[in-house]
Amino acid sequence: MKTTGASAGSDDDDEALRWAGDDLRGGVDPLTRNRVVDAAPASDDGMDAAAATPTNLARTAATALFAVLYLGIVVGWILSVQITGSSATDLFSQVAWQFGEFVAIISGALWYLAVLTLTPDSRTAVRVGWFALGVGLLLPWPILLVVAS
Amino acid sequence: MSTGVVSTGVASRVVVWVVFALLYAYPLFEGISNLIALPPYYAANGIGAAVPWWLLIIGVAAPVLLYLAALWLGRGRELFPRTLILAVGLAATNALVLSAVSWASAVQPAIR
Repeated sequence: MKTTGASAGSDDDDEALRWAGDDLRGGVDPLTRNRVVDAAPASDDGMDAAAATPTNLARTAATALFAVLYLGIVVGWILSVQITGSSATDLFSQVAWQFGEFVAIISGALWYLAVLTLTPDSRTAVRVGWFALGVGLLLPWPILLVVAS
Repeated sequence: MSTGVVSTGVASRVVVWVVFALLYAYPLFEGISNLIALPPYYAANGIGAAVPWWLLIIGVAAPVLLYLAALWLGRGRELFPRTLILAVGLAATNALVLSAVSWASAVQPAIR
């Protein structure tokens, strides 16, 4: 049944090393490529995919949910920079402030893309953990405080 | 041949580290300047007890900690992921600093 029967934990590891959409994109993960070659007959692939579906579904759902949250963070920062301002008068401080506002706007998108691209082989919990940490750090407080008051 | 490739890799890594160090330095400079200037300003206005120390500390600590964290997370990776992680940390630093500033305004008592 299992593509690798090395240990009881190998099933989890295999699932962790797969990512929903890999098949659609035709990509083969470098870490799993060799194992797939070593694995038994092609008919096993279908069973493997079926067994992995719940995990992949949860992973896809979490990735999609956080996409919406991070979109909200980006919108929140776009609104936030409308109400924050610098009292600085010299050019350098103004440019630095504008740059800071700009990167704050794109912080949500950057964090999301970084987690998306850098955790393809990680467990779902690890990916969700990084997504959640980003949401906590990047909350657009300027606009939230205005809305709350 | 191979040493040339390796040293090119090291050189581009160092360039990325230095460029991002400069970009992280500005929020750090702002944080330090707030830490130095805000308490006397509050004291002069009779609200010296209300200095938001935790926000001032975030302003100084966030650039340093996020830069170090980005370096640590990037170790052993290719140049692009390293750079991406440093960029994410820089963006998060600036977002945190803006949040801290807005919190400081929100919790500042009225000055009579």
